[in-house]
Amino acid sequence: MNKDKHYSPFQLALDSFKKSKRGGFFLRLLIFLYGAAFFADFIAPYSYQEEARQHSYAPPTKIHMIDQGRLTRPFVYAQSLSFNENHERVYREDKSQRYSLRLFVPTQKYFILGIIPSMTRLWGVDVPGKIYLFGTDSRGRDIFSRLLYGARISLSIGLIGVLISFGLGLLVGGIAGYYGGIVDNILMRLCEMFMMVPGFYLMLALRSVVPDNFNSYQVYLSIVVILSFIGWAGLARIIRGMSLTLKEREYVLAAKMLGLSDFKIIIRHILPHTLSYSIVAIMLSIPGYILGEAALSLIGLGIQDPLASWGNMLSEAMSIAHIQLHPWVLMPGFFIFMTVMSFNIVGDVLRDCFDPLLKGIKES
Amino acid sequence: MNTTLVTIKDLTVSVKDGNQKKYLIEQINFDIIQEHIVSLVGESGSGKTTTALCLGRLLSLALTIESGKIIFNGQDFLTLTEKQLQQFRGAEIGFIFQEPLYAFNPLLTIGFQIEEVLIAHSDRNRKQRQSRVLELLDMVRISDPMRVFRSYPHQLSGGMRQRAMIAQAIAASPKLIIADEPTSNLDVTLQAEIIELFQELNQKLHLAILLITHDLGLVRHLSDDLVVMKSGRIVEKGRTKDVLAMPRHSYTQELLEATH
Ligand SMILES: Nc1ncnc2c1ncn2[C@@H]1O[C@H](COP(=O)(O)OP(=O)(O)OP(=O)(O)O)[C@@H](O)[C@H]1O
Ligand SMILES: [Mg+2]
Repeated sequence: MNKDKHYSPFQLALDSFKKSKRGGFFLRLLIFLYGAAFFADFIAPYSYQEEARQHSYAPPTKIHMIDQGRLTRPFVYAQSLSFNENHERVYREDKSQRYSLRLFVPTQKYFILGIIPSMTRLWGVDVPGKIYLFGTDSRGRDIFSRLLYGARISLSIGLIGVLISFGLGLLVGGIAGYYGGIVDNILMRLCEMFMMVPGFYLMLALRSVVPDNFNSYQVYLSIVVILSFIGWAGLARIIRGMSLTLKEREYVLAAKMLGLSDFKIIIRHILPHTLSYSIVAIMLSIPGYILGEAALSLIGLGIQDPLASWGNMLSEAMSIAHIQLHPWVLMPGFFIFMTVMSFNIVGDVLRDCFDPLLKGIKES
Repeated sequence: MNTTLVTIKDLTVSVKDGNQKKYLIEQINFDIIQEHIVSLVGESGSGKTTTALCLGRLLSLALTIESGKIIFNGQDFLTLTEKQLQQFRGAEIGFIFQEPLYAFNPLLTIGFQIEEVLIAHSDRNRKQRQSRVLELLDMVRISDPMRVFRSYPHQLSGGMRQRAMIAQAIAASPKLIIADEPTSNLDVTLQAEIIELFQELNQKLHLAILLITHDLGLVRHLSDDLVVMKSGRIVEKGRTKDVLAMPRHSYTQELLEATH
């Protein structure tokens, strides 16, 4: 071991994570997705509510590189809409109008992250051309752009929800295990009450308490709170079990001997030892929040149109006919799948890395 | 100069064993004089550690103090509230454990764990605290305080860890240090060094030390007073040299013979 550097056992476990190719790849994928969500308004060529009714259910736009046998800068053709004998939409490329793809295209003034004023977006095509990387939805809105904006909601709900429920779970579990006795009894019965009700019904029940006249941000917050409410109890029980054994450690007695307060002992000398478990559990439970939001939004109880979330975008894919005719409306599902899978794999790899630390807790 | 720091009076500790009560300590009496080193000896299971934990009021839940008094510096220790106790522990009494590897939290640096005592018991700012920690590490004769400050427990040798724990115990300048078999896990040369350190701290910082040990050589060499325990009772006590010169109780005689 390098003598000049001081590694905690925790850092050693993270180091072994960094060496894992699989974990690294999916972690990067997640960082990429979150990064894209963060800069959604700059990366997306259109805003989430910009609609073009004449382009409803347009398929992904083809990008051309070759013009009359010669390589040129990428361009797209204009799309013209007609209906076939079954009254189905047919889009044809209108070869007479072509629009080049460009970086840093000018648009109407908007605010990056809601603060930095900007008149350009990262990429786009010359006006009045349109480019729909993943096609459009029923109202002719660009699915790619809406996916990016929707990622903000869908991905952040997982993170914030997990933070709240883990904060709550760690604290309640830590306190219950540390004090034991009546405190433990009351807190654990409370947890069991939450765990007995199936999550989805609890979610619906809690959702029905939320007033109808909430604006979209309030709805967003209440969804986060609802989802965290469901998640914390299971964690609290596990942390409680760990803290029950951890409090018997000699360094906890030593910390008491030093005159540290109970709160500090729980925070500094008990909970950090559950962290290796918690981090894995966090990774593995984020998908639950993402799917929870998706489920609520899908059935119309979550994020409301025109705001985009991966869940409410999927409600366009509720009928088989739509999926057959416009398979691209399934795109949000693909992104949900990718994200959920990435979190699961990263969590799995982390668990392997933390295994030695976890064994340490169980054995003593 | 012979003021009493701690008086333990008729202290009795019991443990619930089914329906029966078992006494782990019965009616023990002894004093710790300021700046004295008091040795507490006795066979395994005689109640030495239990006595020490009483002085921190940190007995495990199964054990109860049945009766008796502990007077620390004129204050009745057994009537203090939990909050007052927290101010007491660490600030007035420091503890040194047998195995420092387990007494330090493996996830935090040594430096921080010493600093924690100062956070709890002083109003120094961050900078002052850190320079105090380095000073303490220097005081316990750690040659490379900066490195030890930033190290995690598992990165230090046993002797270093023991020194670091002594530094932690004296961080808030307590008047009494309780050391429960502080040298039994160390090799002979290290033992000698730690003993020397105890002697030095006793003189320099005017610390009283309650030394729990099995090592009669250590007792003879280091301590002013001696308390001998056997199955929860004190069988003999007095000035160390008197007791060792003329042991009255047969158990003390046996103990002496066993080590000669
Ligand atoms: N939590 C407990 N529950 C039940 N009995 C206990 C408990 N703690 C200690 N005892 C008992 O109290 C007696 C005294 O234990 P103590 O640890 O004080 O002995 P000791 O003198 O320190 O021994 P050693 O030299 O081995 O450290 C022992 O018989 C032990 O079994
Ligand atoms: Mg003992």
